[in-house]
Amino acid sequence: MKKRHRFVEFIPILLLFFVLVGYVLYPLAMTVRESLLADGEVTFSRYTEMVDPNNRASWEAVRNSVSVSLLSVLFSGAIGIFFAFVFTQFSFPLKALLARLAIIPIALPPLVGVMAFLFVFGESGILPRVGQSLLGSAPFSLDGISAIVAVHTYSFYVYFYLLVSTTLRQMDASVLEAASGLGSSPWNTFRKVILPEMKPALVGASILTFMASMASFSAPFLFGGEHRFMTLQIYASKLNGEIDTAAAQSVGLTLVSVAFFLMLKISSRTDTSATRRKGSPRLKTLEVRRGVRRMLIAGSLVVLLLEMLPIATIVLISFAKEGSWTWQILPTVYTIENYSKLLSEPHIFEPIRNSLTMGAATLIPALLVGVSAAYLVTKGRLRRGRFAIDLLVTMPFAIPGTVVAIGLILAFNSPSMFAGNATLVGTFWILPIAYFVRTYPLVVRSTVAALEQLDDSLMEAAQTFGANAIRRFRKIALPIIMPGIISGSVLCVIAALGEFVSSILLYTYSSRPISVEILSQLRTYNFGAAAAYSVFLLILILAVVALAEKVARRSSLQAGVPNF
Amino acid sequence: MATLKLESVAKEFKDTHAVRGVNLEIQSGEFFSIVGPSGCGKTTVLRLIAGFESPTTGRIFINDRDITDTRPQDRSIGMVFQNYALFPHMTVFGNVAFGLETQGVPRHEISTRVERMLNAVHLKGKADAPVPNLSGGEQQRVAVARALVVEPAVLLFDEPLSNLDVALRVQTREEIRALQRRTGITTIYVTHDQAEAMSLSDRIAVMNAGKFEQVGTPVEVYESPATLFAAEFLGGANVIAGTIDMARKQFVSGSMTMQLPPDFTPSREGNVRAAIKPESLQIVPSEHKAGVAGTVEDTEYLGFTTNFLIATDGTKLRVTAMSSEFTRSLRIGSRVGFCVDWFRCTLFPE
Repeated sequence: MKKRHRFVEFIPILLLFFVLVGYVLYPLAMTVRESLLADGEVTFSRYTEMVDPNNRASWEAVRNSVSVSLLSVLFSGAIGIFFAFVFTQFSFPLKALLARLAIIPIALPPLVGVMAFLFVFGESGILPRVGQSLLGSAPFSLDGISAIVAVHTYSFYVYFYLLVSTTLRQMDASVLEAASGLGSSPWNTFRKVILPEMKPALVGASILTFMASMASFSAPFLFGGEHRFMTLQIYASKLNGEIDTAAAQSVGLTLVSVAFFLMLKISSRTDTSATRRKGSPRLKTLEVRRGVRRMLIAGSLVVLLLEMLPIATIVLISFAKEGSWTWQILPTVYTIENYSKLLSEPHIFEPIRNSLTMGAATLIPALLVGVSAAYLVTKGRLRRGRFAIDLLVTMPFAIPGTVVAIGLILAFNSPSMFAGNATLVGTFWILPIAYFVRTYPLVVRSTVAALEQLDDSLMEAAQTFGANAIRRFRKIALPIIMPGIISGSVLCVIAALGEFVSSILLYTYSSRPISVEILSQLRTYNFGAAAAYSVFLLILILAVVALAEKVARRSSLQAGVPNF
Repeated sequence: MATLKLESVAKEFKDTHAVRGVNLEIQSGEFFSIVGPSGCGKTTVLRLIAGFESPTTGRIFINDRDITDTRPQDRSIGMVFQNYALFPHMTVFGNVAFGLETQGVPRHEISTRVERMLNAVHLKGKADAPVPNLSGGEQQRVAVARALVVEPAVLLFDEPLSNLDVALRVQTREEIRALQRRTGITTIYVTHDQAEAMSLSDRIAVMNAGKFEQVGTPVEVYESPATLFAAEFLGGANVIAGTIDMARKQFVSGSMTMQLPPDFTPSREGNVRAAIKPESLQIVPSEHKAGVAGTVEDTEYLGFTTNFLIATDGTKLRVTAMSSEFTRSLRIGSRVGFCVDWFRCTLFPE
């Protein structure tokens, strides 16, 4: 009986191994190899060149990437924590709706968010133009570093918001009561009890935000102007045909990201917190004066409004007639032409068809690999190495999209055994492979969270009733972990539909996805068409989210749904 | 209706011997309890019988059929888990029907059998409730109903009452006993609560450090413990080391000397350990000539009875006395005397 069990486990292990080796480790190895080889000999010249104190371009990129990332952590943290407190500690009208709106940025494709910011706050954006017409000169406009930090804050505060509000909701109020019972002042309680409890959430969100900012491509790409960034350097090197330099830069960026990822893994591993036991009270509302409370609520409403503004603007611009928005504050002529073209003209519809196909081509293997990997990590009969496998399985999440693309280019620009002896570079399929590598860790992560909720004794109970392995999985495990699998799938599909960072390095004209098409419309000043594509993408994403919610509710979720 | 037999069953985990050679024969329809402190291996025995663990050595038989290598799903076992292990995504009906559905019982028969079972555990009308909405006691009864409805050959309970409050625990254990008598299913019940084990069982095994110390009826095990551990664990006995001096008919422990009754014939002489249950000690006024002197260190008034902790030179003794005018007059620090009912003590070799 034991032997059979091992054999059944062997198939997913093999699959996982193939995927990890073929699409993650092998491309990384090829990247390292490319960065070290020159005419068949090993050389460190690209690295010494990269860290040469006189190489000002290289150091400027590092400095900019790091300082933008630190600022992004700071601002995302401020907004995210603020929201978390307001939404968990106070009740006010429309709270449920507003709380849902607050997590929308996580579903927004990076390029769409950046473009929306450009429309609203950019040099020739709506708000600066309003200022100009009122005051004679634009009082502000976002560009360069400030714009990038703003976009990052907009996209990444959700990490802080979700993690901190989960902690606040789970915090055991009796611990606080105990503290005040022992004579601790409110400030002291906050410092000595609440803050340490929130530490895992704060550390986790900070690392996630830092990693995402370091890997960010779209914002520097559109707003960076003259400034250099690590991801842009890689892209530029590749476009200049210096793939060896791009490889060395990729290795450098990956080392930074993976180092932070390891920190994240290790910090979350030693996370102990006083979460609520059954029957213990929830955290009570913070007692603040009514005036302060109103101010906090008003403040969060203003922030949310600012948050919705970019999306509203994109919708508005999508109805603008081409050429009707040049120097005016708002477009002057409106039309539905942008949408009707989208559906009627085949070459305009092509990117949409591409993205849909690639989304499906990403999700199916991500589900297969992600769910079996999650099962192995949590319930597999591995004695040792569980942490190592977990690390390996989720590591692609830490590899910046630019690096994923460079690695795949180097690994699959000649026939490869991992691609059935085909050359993938230049084909359609290289894109879904990149999407898969970047997104399947999301499926792993949320399935793992769900599986951890699945009590082993449930499976044992089913076993006593004569249920075999298949029936146990289908009737007991699957319904319970389904919400986790669904939410992982949703995140995976959303990311695949709007993926831009690796696409821009891998696409060909016929395989261009929506995001790349948005960029090319933007570059030819077809703002209306770019916005229409964006809105279409947003509708697709919202449809996926809504559908998942409906399905998930039907399978009557009792297990905790992971946050993202 | 089934018999169960364990033949020198042992289970080693990586660095512990959880079960060290257990032999056991359980009669058809018997209610058998395994009682012992946490970590003694009692749950492991249960999991070996269920088939969730396979023994390192030894064989297990149901109805003389060797099931050691049979998979859990093929053993015809019902189990009630400590945490109930109810399927959270199903209703009460869904949980109870699961086993019957797995066995391919026809729909209409399932619904009648489930309904009958739910009536038996007083859950009529809760059939459509999602299980997370139930109280702890109701969940416990669903777990019992779910295990019983498939009419297993052997029913296993793993500390099923430990998550209930005291009043509910007593009520539920009476219900479990009644159900078991009515159905006549061979039952093995694991608990760390000796009162629970004694009130429910036909026979009890006292387990310690992976071994059965004693197997017998509740009366046998309680009245004549076979080992010091059994005496201490089941009866909460005081253990005093001393010497039986038959020449003087005395028990001497340190500077304390107790006279043995003239008609008392001890089971052994010389150096012994005497296991004396709290209720085999009697408190008497300090001037009483038969008594040994001591000081009240602590009292615990329980209504009908009162517990005392009496300090006498070197040792502290737990005493349970029926409450009376006299016991109520005692305070911490009061001087008292006490005597031992030697006929109800057990003597173990030093």
